[in-house]
Amino acid sequence: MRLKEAWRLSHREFAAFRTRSIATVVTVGALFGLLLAAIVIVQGLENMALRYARAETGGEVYLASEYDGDKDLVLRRIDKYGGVVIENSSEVLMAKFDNVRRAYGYAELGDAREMGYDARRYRVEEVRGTQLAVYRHFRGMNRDFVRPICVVLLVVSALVLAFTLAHLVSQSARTFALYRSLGASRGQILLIYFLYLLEICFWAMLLAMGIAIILAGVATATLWNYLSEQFSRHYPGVGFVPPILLGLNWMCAEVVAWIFGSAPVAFLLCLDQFSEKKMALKMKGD
Amino acid sequence: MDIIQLQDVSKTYGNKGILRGVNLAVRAGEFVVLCGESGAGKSTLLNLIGGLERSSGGRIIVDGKEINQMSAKERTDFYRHEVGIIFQGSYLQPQFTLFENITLPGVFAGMPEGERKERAGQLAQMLGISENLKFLPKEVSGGQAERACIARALLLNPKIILADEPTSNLDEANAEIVLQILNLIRVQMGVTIIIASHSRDVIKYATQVVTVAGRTAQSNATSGVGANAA
Repeated sequence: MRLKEAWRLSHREFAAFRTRSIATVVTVGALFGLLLAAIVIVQGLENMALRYARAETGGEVYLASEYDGDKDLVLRRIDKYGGVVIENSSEVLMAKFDNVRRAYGYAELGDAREMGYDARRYRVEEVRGTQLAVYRHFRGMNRDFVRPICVVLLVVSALVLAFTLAHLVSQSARTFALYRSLGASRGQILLIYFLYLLEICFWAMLLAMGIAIILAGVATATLWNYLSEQFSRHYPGVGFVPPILLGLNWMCAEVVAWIFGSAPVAFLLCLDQFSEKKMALKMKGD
Repeated sequence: MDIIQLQDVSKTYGNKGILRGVNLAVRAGEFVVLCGESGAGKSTLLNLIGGLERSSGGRIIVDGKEINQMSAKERTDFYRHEVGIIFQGSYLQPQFTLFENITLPGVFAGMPEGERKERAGQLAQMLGISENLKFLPKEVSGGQAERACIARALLLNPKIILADEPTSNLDEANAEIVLQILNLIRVQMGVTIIIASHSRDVIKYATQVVTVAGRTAQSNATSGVGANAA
C-alpha cells in the first residue's frame, strides 16, 4: 500500500467521523493555542522592552567584572564572548558588549568548569542601562514559567489524543475487522490510524496559530496605551516604540513540534489496541 | 483433495460451550451450506474456518496450513490470497463508493491501480453493477450492495469464499440472484463456497450440507442443483 493510499483511507476516516475529529482538533488546538499565545505575547513584550533598553545605551551592554584570582582569566572570558575592555583598574574590569546574547553568556558564568575558575568568586554587574536585566528576566520567565507549561500541555494533549484514539479504535471495531479480513497487515492498519492522528495534529496546529495571533492582537489592542505610558516613563529619553505583542522565537517552532510529537506519544499509549489478540476480539465482536 | 479439514474442533466462550468435536472435510470447488437455527453456532464455525476466531481445541487446516499456528504475516497472506469473506448485512465502508469498496483488498495487497480498475470493472460487469460503481453504499439497493461485497471478496482471486447469511437482508428475487452468482463463481472459477445460512432456499445449491445443532455439526453430501447447475 502506497503512502498516498494510506493517506486517502485515513482522511476518509477523519471525514466520516467529522464531529469527533473536529472536537479533538479544537481541544488540542485550544490547549496549544493558549500556550503559543503566551509565548508570542511574552516574546513581543521582550522585543519591545529590549528595543527601549537598547536605545537607551546605543545598543551596548556595559558589564563590570570582579574576580578574586587570576585577572587574565577575566580578560580571556571577555575576549571569548566578544566584549571589549574599556576600563582596567586594579579591582574592576569594565567591558562593553555589542550583543546582549553574548553579554548574557558571559554574565551567566556557565563555562566555570571548562575554564577552571570558581564561579562563586566571580561577580558580574550591569553598570549602565537595563538590556541584560531585561534579557535575563525574560529568559528566567521562559525557563520557570513557559517551559513547564509546555511539558504539562504536551502530556495533556497526548492524553487527549490517546483517549480519542482509544475511543476511535473501539468505535471502529467493524472497520478494523473488515480491513484485516480484506488483507490489511497490522502495519497498514497502524499507518492508517497514525496518519489520522497526524491530520488531527495538522489542523490543531493551524488552529493553535490562529488562536495565538488573535489573542496577541487582542492583547496588543488592550494594552497599547498602558504599555506605551509605562515604557515612556521608564525610558524617558527614548522615542516611542509601538507595543506590538507579537514575537516569534524558537519556542514557537518547539510548540509546533510538540503538537506533532503528541501523535506518536498517543499512539504508543494505544499500541496494545492493535495487537493481534485484540484485533481477533474485535473481529469476533462484530 | 480436501481444501478444508476440521479435526475435533471445539469452541467455548468462557464456560459456555458453542461447538464440540466438529469434524469436517471440504473438497476444492464444493458449495457447502452451514445450516441450523439462529444461535446454533453457524457463524462461529464460519469464523473459525476464516481465522476470524480461534478455536478452543482441535485443528483447522485450510489449503495445507493450520490456522491457529499462523503468524501475523501468514494470516495477512491468508486473507489476501486464500479466502474472501462476505460479512452479514452487506458490510461495506459507508464513506467509500462501491468502486473504492471493491478495490480495498487490492489497495492492501499492493495491486497496481490500473490492474485494480480493470479487475473491479470485470467483476462489476459480471455481477451486473457496472452502472453503480460511483455510488455510495447508501445510494444503492441491498442486492447491489451484496453483489459489491461479492466483487470485493473476489478481487484477489481467492480459493475460498466464506459468506455469512449473504441473503438475510434481501427479498426473494435478489436472494436468488445472489445465490446464482455464487454458484456461477464456483462452477466457472472453481472457487470453494461456504455459506452460513438459516434459509432453506440455499440448500438447493449445496454439494454438502452441514447441520449445526446441539454443539456439533453433522455433514451430508447432497445431489442438489449446485452439483451441476451453473
